[in-house]
Amino acid sequence: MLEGPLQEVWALEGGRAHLPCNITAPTPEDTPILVLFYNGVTGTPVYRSLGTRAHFDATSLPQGLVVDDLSMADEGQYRCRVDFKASPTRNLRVALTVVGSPAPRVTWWDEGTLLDNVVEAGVERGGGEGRGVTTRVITNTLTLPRLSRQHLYRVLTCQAANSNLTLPVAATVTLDLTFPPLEVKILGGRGALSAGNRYSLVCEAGGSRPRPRSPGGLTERWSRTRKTRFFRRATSAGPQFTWRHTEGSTGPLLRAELKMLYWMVLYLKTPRN
Amino acid sequence: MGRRCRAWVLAATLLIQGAVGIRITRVSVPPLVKAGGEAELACEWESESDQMYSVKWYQGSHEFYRYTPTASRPIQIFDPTTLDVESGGSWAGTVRVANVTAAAEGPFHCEVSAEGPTFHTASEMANMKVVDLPEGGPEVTGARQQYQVGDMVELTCTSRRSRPAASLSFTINSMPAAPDWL
Repeated sequence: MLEGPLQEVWALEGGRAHLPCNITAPTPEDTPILVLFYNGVTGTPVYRSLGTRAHFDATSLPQGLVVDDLSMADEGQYRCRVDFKASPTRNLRVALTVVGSPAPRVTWWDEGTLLDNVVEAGVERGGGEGRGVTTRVITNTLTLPRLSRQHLYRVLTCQAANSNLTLPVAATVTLDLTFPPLEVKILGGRGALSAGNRYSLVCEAGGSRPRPRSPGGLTERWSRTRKTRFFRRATSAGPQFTWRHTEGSTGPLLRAELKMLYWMVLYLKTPRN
Repeated sequence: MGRRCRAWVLAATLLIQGAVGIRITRVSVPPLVKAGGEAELACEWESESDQMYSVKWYQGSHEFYRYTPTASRPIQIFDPTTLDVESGGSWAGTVRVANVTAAAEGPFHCEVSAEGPTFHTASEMANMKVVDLPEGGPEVTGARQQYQVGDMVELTCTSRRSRPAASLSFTINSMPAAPDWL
């Protein structure tokens, strides 16, 4: 009787447990005449002590005792005894484990990769009188050093779980980054420039986020690098420069400077005349 | 009333119930039975307040005898494979068994239940060992007709077909043999 098969059942505190007990008679001519559930092996069957918290479900499969509003005190071994009219008594043992509400594990994930499972802070706040409810705040702080362009739109997930009977709860954050341009170019000034001519120069920047909006997004600053006299005229295609040749001037003539400090220089080659 | 207080009251109620509820006063199972032999298993109970609903005898986890006084046929025998039940010699909590096989060896339980609404249940257990005696006495082999002084004597003592195995010992002129000679 005590060596009967043992079924293990897990259920959540405050939740519902199904303690299985098959009451179908072993032969079709036979019928069950008495079903009792004991806490342990003997004693008084639990129907009275469980009261309205429990009911026997003989229609669903598997048949058994359904107990609601579980407390940790309900944990333990139960025996279901089924007396049949014309067959030996069936005894089934059930071991019920009630899973409490332990502090959750809080983890950070990048898709399927675990980033951080170290919890920095845990705070407990007592609940209402006698209800035994405690509010716990568990904090896991994720630090990502050295953000790079690869982190743009990265989805980071924070997950919390306190048992493998319930699905974890999750929240996500998507990284949005700004970064400076990768390159700056001066267009329209390739090769040698001749004094006295008019050139249309455009400053182009690439690889920045957000895109430069001109005017205003990206400040262009054209500055002279050498002592030259030139005239700057703004046109829709960009500033136009005319300058006068100065004695022995070679080297950087103009510098296009972008707000984020990337620059490229334009060299002047004097024509040999 | 707080939860802990309620638990104490419930426990106290159950304890009080236990004191007047049905309980087993005697369980008698012969500790040793010969294979193929017979035995009488007895179970007695008492109760101040509860009416007895059923008495059951289990061999291991198998119920083989049930006495339900309120049923049309109070005695029910569920044919166990390990022994025979003599319905003639059985009544209430006492059951006569015969042709006990070695497979019947182990725990025997008597379980008594009270009537509804409580169905309070008590159970007691007793062990039965089933022994198979050997057909004859032990045999000594390996002895020579004659020995010279200085010869080595090697003897084997055999006892066949017993359960459990027999424990054998040698005596020399009625004195136990020295252990280093075995």
